[in-house]
Amino acid sequence: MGSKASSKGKTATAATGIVLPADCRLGALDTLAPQLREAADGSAATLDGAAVEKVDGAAMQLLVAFRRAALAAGGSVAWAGASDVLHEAASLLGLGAELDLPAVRSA
Amino acid sequence: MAKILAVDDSASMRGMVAFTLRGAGHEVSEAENGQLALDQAKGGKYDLVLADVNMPVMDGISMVRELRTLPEYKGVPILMLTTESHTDKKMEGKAAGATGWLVKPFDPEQLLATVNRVLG
Amino acid sequence: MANVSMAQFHQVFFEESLEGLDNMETALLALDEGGDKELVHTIFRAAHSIKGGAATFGFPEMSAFTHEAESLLDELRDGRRPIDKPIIELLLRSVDCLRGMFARAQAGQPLNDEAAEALRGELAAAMGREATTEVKARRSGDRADAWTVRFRPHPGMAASGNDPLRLMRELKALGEMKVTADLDKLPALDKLEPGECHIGWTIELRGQVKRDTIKGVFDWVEDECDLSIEPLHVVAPPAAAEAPKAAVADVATARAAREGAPAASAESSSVRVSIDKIDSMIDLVGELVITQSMLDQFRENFDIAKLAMLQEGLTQLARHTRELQESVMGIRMLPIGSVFNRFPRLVRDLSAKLGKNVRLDMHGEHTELDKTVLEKIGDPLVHLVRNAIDHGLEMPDKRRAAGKVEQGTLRLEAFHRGGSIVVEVADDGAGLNREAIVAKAVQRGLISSGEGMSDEAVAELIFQPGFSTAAVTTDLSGRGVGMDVVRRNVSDLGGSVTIRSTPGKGSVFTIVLPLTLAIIDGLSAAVGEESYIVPLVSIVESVQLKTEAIRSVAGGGELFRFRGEYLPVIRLHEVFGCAGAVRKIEDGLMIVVEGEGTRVGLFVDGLNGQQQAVVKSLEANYRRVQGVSGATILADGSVALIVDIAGLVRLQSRRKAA
Repeated sequence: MGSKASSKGKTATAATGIVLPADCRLGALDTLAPQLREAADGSAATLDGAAVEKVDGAAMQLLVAFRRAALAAGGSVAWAGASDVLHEAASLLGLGAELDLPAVRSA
Repeated sequence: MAKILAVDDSASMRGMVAFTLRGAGHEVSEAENGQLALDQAKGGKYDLVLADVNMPVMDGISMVRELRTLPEYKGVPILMLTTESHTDKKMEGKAAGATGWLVKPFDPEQLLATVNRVLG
Repeated sequence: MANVSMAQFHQVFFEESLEGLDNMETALLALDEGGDKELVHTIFRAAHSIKGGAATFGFPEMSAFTHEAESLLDELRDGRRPIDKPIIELLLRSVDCLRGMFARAQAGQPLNDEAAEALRGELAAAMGREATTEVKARRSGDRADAWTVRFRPHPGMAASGNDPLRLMRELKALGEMKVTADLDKLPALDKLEPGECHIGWTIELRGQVKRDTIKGVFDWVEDECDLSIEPLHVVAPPAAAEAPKAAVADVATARAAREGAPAASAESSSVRVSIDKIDSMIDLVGELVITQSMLDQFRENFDIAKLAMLQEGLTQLARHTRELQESVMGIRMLPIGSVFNRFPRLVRDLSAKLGKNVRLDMHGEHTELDKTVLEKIGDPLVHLVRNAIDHGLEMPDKRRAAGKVEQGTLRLEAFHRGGSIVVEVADDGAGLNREAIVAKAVQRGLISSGEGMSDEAVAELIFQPGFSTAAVTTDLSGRGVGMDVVRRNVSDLGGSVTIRSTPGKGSVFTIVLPLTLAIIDGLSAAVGEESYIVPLVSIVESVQLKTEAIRSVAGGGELFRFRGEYLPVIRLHEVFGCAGAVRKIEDGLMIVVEGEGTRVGLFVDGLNGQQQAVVKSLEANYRRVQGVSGATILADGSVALIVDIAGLVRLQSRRKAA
């Protein structure tokens, strides 16, 4: 509902930037999942999680699956930013290493 | 603060729930049966729904079942307000898609604790 | 703080619960008559609500009692136990017992008495066990200072709103946590359904935590995940007594909370209004606002071409205002059914006790009465109903001997008549026994003999103070309470009670009650300089008569012939002493009205037209006036009196008798 997710589409450098919505929970995943599937095409993807205020296990799981798929396709995933909420969630779910969040702070 | 829908055919119970939650700064709407709650839920997205089980017109369990068919209520917490003597109702509620339950009787503190628990 | 906030809901809880008990009783009685088994659900729901509310609002005794009733109802509902007379009887007594508990709760008295305890035992015995004590000792969990929790949600867990992240957060609150995610079962991105859970976790939790506490985190998802909780290090077994003690303390706290909440006994009066009524008022207000803004535009620029629009707008405004007024008045109006509800039970119990066979026939339950009137009419009605069963209806053998059906009929009916509500209690019994009444009245010194007294006058005797006393009433009709009290109660409400009795055929008690605050439809009639409102419903017809059509009778009365019967003429100008009124019959108008079953002709100058009148009580603002039920304010600001037809008829018959 009213998610701030905006697909920037592919840029000239063949990198894909995906901005995660502020409310990044189950209700937002029907919009987010297709974007991620499209981005896991072996290109260099950038995830911007700086605006995430709410997140849940389902969203974190989707991000893990995305990262695995992107890497398997020979692409890369970089974080343009990750909010505290995202860090906390990754830590609680034991997914910090798997998601390779920017190690700005120790959770 | 969260938008909460309180559903109970008992005005006193509904009043107590709404009063307590409003006191904690939440925005609370009330409905006196499942059908009215459903109509209301369609009109605006709630972060949490608290519903009695036994209600006329449409009971809480049917309401949960209906609510879960709406895409905007995917994963939204719905708690059943139930009494301990009816474990089968808890399970029926869960099977219909309820998140959990709050066992009557509960006092305002317990209510708030549970609500805070699901709202995270 | 919590206590204060709870107390404010006590009154609402009492009201809704008493209503629930009424519904239970009605449904139980219907079941008794072989009603639909579905009624058990209604009864169960009512009991269930009361139980939940009682526990929440700090009435554990009430909750415990209802718990037993509810369990029994549950067995009936599931068909585990047949619904038979003794069970219904037991449940009816439980309803009574709960009513008693509510009365004590409202009065701030201790809820339980021996009868309640005994009945609770009976309920349990009916289910073949002893009464349960709600205080349950929780199974105490093992203690350890470190745990390994293995948690794997089933795919559908998140869809029910149980977010694994939330569960982890709750666990984290219990102690130091090390989490390992198991991603082996995570599908590939294109196969992943985002709403499903496919990750499992192994959590090492360090802290002085009980197993049950950890289990509590997962209590909602027990069936939606695989869960194991293993201690890393086991510590000494826990002290066992802890949990029950806490439960006892809870009961004590609840009691203290109740006793510390005087608000429960300070009864505040409230009216429950149906949402429909409120919605229609909101709609009307909306319409009013629209009309008002429509009219507003004429303020700035009005020219004569818009006159029709202005008139249209004003008409609308008038209509909406009237409708809104009616709706607002209607808030205080409640159906008399809530009073009638108690009678099926009363009639059933009483006739069983007396060995009489009585059928109760109720009509007009939806007739609405002012809340204040409604609250006070119950006792007089109960008295009349008891009286009818006790004294009016005969024993079956006596009825048979008299050539009647064995089953007596008691009719309870409410309806509108004029600006009033009429409630009739009628039986097809033996009727008043003239000789017995006269004998008793003589014995009581009310009259010296019955000679020359009309049947009506004899019937009136039963309403005399001192006619019935404790010595002559049976315990069923209420000790020492006579018809005089009924009449006084009703007249306190501005109403009247009359009796019509036919020997061998039965008696009809008629209570006429005012619709306080009501709006009535009336015809405005001119009499001299003044206007009077004649309630439309009392009007039969208005006729213009020739002077020759009037016959004078001895004693100064006048009669005219109307549809084959002679009706007395009441000249309103005479009754109310109006100057300048029309006196010649053919120059005025005769309005034929009916009141208390009698028709009379009201002679007025003429009619001004139909009009809605908001009834203002004369009593409240001035004093009671014979023949007038109230006053209203006319459009021009002048006051018009509302004619009380029944009162005028009584006035007329008294004059005739004199």
